Amino acid sequence: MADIRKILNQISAQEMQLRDRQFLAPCVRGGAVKTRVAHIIYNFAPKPHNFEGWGIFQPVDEKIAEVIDEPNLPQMAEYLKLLQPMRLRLAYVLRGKTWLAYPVNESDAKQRFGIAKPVAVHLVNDGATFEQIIARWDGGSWWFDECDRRADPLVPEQLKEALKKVISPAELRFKGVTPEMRTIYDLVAQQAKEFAAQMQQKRDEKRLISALRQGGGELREFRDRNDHWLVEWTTADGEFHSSAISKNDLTVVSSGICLSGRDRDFDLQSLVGVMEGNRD
Amino acid sequence: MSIFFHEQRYRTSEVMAQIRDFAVTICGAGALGANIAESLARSGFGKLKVIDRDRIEEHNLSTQPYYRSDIGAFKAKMLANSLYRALGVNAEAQSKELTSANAAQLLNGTFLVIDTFDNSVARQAVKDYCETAKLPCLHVGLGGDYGEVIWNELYRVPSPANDDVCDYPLARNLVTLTVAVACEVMITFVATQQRQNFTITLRDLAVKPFA
Repeated sequence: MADIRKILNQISAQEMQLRDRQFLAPCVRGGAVKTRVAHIIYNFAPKPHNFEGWGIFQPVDEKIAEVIDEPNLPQMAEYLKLLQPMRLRLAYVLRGKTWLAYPVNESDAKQRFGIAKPVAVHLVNDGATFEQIIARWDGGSWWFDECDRRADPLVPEQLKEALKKVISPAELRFKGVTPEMRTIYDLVAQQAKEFAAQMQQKRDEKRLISALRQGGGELREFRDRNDHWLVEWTTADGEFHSSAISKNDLTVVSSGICLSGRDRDFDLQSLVGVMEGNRD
Repeated sequence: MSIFFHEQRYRTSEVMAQIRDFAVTICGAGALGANIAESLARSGFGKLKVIDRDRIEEHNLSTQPYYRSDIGAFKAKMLANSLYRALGVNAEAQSKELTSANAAQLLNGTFLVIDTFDNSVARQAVKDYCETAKLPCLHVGLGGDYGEVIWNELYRVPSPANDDVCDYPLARNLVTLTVAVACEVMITFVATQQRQNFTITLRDLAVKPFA
């Protein structure tokens, strides 16, 4: 049976040596850095405390390790080589150098890591939205390794183009598009403010067109006026009207003709009939 | 099989062993320096150092082995990273300006200096230091439609006029031809200690009809 005192003494001696050791580790802002001695993991707060990146650390005491140098690429590569790689596609920045990413191949991800979901990848110092990368798993976090040189560079271009044209994820079409590409596109589209605004505008336009069409009218243009839209539309025989319509329920805020203060009794759909009746 | 299989068949194992351990410092990581570094690494040179203070700009991409995504990064660092990724060659990158004050420190431990700097002040600093330290130094330069590969003892630093500008005519084929000549001169030097000097123009390319 092993002598427990002897083992504890060994660990204690190794702990003492830890102060004199330098170690290489990745660090996210506000996170801790880790090193392992005698199969025991030691956590340190980085100094400076807001450090983010790859560093060579030297323990100052049992709680703090100071950044003393920046590792070069071969040193980082040696560290990363010990971790399991996976191909992912970048979505958007979550915080600092941490990005949300999604596996390029769901089936591969499930088989090797038991997951196929969006993950946070830390210390992304290269790449952009929709670009394919290789990240590595240390059992707790994904760390950026490099941009995937095997990836087709046209795919991110096509996805960006689709985003610019406000194509919905369901309508995304190009040669070679995969379900994983649709998923990442959906993730980015949900997040992109410009896209969201444009999507909202498209939805609003559809809603107005539909309401007017049911009454026999046709939308010409509409403008956003905070709580209402200024809708320019024509009746079936081409007569032009401008009406203020509530965004909430399409009730009439101001019809453009005198409705004796009863404007709010009507909505856009019924207003078409009112206008046509008024003319008769 | 080594990644230098074909090169080894051409050069012999003895020469390959010599160049693997031959420390070369390349001053400049632009059209000449970056392409020379890449050629040397792909030829089997295993101990390379690159010194360049500049960052990658869009107009560099036609003549220098960088990517669009590298724009804004330090040339020396990106070059070292790319050599490591491509070949596993661990080149040392120094993103610093070489001056007469730090030349000794930056060129320390090297067997051969390659000068490809784009300005006369830096070229003079390299020439002077190598002369004093008796360090072999090969100057590689371009001017209009002319390229030259000249050892330190014959080299004259050009006039500082028109130095360090980016708006000049430059043909990629002249760059690659000059790079090839310079690299061949270096390998000859390592293998035989012979110091060849050359001037190059695109007209030196002898293209003859096959008949």
